[in-house]
Amino acid sequence: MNAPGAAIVGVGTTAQGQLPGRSATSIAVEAALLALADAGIDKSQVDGLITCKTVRRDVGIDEEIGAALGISPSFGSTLHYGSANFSLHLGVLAISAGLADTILLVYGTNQRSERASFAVRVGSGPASVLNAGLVHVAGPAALAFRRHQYLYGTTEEQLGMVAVAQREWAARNPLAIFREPLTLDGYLAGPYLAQPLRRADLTMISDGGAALVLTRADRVGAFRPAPVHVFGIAQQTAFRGHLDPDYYSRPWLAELARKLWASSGIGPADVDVVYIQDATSVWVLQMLEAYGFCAPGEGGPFLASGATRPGGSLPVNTNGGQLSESYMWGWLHMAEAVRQLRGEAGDRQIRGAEFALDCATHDFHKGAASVLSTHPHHG
Amino acid sequence: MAEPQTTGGSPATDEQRAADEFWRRLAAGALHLQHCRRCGRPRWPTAPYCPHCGGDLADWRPLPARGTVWSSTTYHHAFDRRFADDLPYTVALIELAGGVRMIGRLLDDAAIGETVELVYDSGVDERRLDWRRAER
Repeated sequence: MNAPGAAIVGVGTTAQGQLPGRSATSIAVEAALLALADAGIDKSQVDGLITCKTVRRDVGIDEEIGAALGISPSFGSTLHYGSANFSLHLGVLAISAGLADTILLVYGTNQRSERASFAVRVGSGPASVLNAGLVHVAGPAALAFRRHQYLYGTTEEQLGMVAVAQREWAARNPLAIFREPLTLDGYLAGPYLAQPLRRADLTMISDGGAALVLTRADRVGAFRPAPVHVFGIAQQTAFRGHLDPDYYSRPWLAELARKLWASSGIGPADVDVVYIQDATSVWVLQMLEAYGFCAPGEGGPFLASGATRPGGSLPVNTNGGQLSESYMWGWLHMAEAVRQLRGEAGDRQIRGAEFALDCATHDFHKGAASVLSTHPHHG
Repeated sequence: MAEPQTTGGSPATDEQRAADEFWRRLAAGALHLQHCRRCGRPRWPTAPYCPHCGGDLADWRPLPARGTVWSSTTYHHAFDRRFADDLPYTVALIELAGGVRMIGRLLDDAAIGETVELVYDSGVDERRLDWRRAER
């Protein structure tokens, strides 16, 4: 982990769900202002801005959000895809390189009100993939899960525990969109969309914004909240696509996990709470195995044991995740991780939480993971 | 639905020409892939450069139009309205020889691990690869 290290010292989240009549930039600006207020600083103390575009639209650009905020920071950058982890890592890089000391990381979307289409090809491949009808993330996720069933005997009841457990967490989260209870019977009663995945296995589409303030680890004293340190980071791409086998099973996640544990110097047993960016429930199954919380192929029984539910041995997505809280490309996962480590998670608080894992993927193309901690990383 | 075409009359790119040639040969009843002249390996999808060795010359040669079902899923919901009339339809990832992996439609209930063969007179006009259980 590079010196001087970085820590999250501000978090802001807007209302989520249906926000008609708001532009994506306006929502992002609202989140940014909330994060600044939470950090207890004025925008003049910000010298970096990292934004990311909302899905398939040319909005969320640093120059527009910067203009709306009325700032000209030293460093500004836009990622063309979402996911808080990628923005966080870019912020860590900028701070390590001395390009900025205090960076606003911002995301806002009005994809629901704008009726953005998600019926697109996910994963790599030529047009014939689209022509076959492999559209929406549900398709590749279903292919991956059916393969997992074929190899390991994983059942739909076991997969259903992802949605059921996360709904239990969401019931305790005032920010969550879906809070009414979901039983396993209720899950199984839902019709297949891409067999055997059901509506409950897939993220909803929602409007909303989130922002973080990231600063140098040796400057955290200038901010109001207790800092949450970036304890380890790692990334891995899968640009070769189908040139390698088992593409939809994403075997390279294990390599990403290996690098993350090496970077942070801790292992799965040290993690108190886990955040997995869940476009589908299948990603939770894949990443629990890849990061070593259970053996490969054992994800089904692990989920069925109730380990990830409130009161379980390994809380996962205590905000309800994208299946129940909101579809915010991992930004709310990271906000929740920060709130947990600060002790501000209310009814969802994991007592004494010191280490959080936040792992994400962008489509099938790349993954990024972070360990966040109440402790600064030394050396 | 074809690969994106250029607008305004610019010449087709090398990427487009390679894709067009694949579909032209398939429409004529033959599964031919670019085989790299330098390393000999087939590639899919079509591409101007060999993704294995970087070679820029290739010969079109046949590949056996048979493979194994890696996985499949049946759509019961039209995420894209274009496919509403096709419901329910099954999409599969097929593994052929030479490390070639193709996505297409499965026309029957061939299971994961079964051998399937390409169906030549179906889907080609839509630039879609259709498969069915292989006859022994």
